[in-house]
Amino acid sequence: MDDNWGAFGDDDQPDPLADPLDALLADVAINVQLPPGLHKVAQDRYAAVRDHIGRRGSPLEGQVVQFYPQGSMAIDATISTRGTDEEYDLDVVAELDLRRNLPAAAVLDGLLNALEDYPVRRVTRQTRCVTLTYSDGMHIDVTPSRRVGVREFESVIFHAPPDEPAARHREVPMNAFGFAQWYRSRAPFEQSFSRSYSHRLNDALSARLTDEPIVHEVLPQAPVELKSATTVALQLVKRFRNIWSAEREERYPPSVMLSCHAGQAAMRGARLSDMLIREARWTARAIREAAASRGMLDVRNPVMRDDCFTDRWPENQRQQMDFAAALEDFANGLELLKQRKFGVQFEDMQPWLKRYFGDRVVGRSVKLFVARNGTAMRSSSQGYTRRGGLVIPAAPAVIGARPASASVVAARPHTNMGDRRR
Amino acid sequence: MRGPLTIVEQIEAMAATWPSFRLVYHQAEQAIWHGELCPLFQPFMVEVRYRAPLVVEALNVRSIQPQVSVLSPQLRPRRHDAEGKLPHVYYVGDGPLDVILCMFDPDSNEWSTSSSLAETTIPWAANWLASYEGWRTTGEWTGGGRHLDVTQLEGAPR
Repeated sequence: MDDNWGAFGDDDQPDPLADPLDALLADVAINVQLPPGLHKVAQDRYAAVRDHIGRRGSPLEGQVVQFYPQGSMAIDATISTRGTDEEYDLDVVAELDLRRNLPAAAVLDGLLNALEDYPVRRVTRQTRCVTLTYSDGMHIDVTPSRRVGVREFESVIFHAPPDEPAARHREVPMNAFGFAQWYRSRAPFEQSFSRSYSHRLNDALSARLTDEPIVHEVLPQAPVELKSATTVALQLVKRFRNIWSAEREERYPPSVMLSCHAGQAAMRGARLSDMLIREARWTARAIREAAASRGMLDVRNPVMRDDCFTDRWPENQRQQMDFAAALEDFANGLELLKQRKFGVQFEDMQPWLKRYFGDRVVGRSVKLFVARNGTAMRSSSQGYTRRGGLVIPAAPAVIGARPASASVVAARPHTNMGDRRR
Repeated sequence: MRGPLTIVEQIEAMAATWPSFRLVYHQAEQAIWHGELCPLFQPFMVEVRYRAPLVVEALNVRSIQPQVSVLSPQLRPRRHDAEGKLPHVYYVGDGPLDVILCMFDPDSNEWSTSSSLAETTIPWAANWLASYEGWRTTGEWTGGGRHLDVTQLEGAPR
């Protein structure tokens, strides 16, 4: 059954998140994404790290050419870390003015030296980056690079596992900046989606401020999220990947590969649930196609073919096939929920959602969703579809929502009464 | 002040506003409709029974009010819940699920015999069902309302 949920919204424009399933998925995404406050914190930390690396007396004094976010931060798709709900991994590229043929380990060790005394909880040398661990749980991976290409931002990064001989260390082609530009051109923000998503985000933030989802406060400065359904769906796919991977003791499917598939699958104006199903199936199909010829998934940077996003995952057939099967189960379940004809009640959906997105996040999202519905009904700001579907304004408590104008009938106040038998 | 709507007027308004509701019985001033409402995730088949009063009748709103029951799926009670095992219903039979939804305060002006069922009863039933789904999922009834001891109310559905 597909009701005409999207027909009503503020200013008579369709609300892309009017369908309850899309609204609930948006609430889940809001609960896993980097909160707007931490976004600013991350930007300030980037700047401070950049200044520290290039400071007077640093081993890398005067060698920082460029410093830019990469990965999820560059495309605004950051979510909490695998296995946690409050920690965030952020990536930044430190393009350095380095001579050619410098050993990969020397570059990474040099960066480690430049950051050794940085005032964070821990500074850790990794295979390709140096990780700064902050006391609030934020991690910033600083990846050193050297410009190589004629085209803008074509670079190499350095692969040097500390426990491997230098002979196996190498340079790896990379153009993270170009990829982010490509992604944004494929999945530009959508105005009506961004507006609806921002209203919901502000509603969620105001509920958190009071620690009580039913009582809301107007935020002094309401953040605006410039989003597309493609990017929010990507955040949900990544969350699914995190939960799925949490019980496995192995490398997990790379975010950049999922981002690339999301960019390829992007479809302007698609509903969030449709986009989520599409992205999950896109990756599953790519894996099945590779496996059909006994190959491994091979995803390349669309702006730099030598930049391979799948050079460390999948490691074997079993790994990629397990992930494909999980993605298909996930997409199949979502399609069942969308159809609304198999007697799946909201309370039955909750365990399913928790399995794929995590207990705490789903519990919080469901509570917020139910509270928002209640606020709308108590203030008569909801509308109705022809099949009796409730159309709930994005943030009935925060933005002073007015009744949905194209509703089949106008909402009227009423008082649920009745007996209370235990 | 507008007088009571006749059953024909109610039937016409229902057909115009909620075409998916089927009139399954119509005799004299009585009518019964069956229709599906899907306020959030679960489609519910509901029954609406109503007898329009004659102009000369002065009936208590409690006894004349439209009766809405859920035909399928069965409502799921929860014992020992602070809101009651099924919040905001009237018990009308011997079975634990013989209930009709209670969606307005009969002592207020929220509903009268001049109210259109299409504009009150059906959207209120959708609200009730959305609140019910939320209550079953989170344990909280967020749709508002208050409880009364109906055994003390003369003319209430029993």
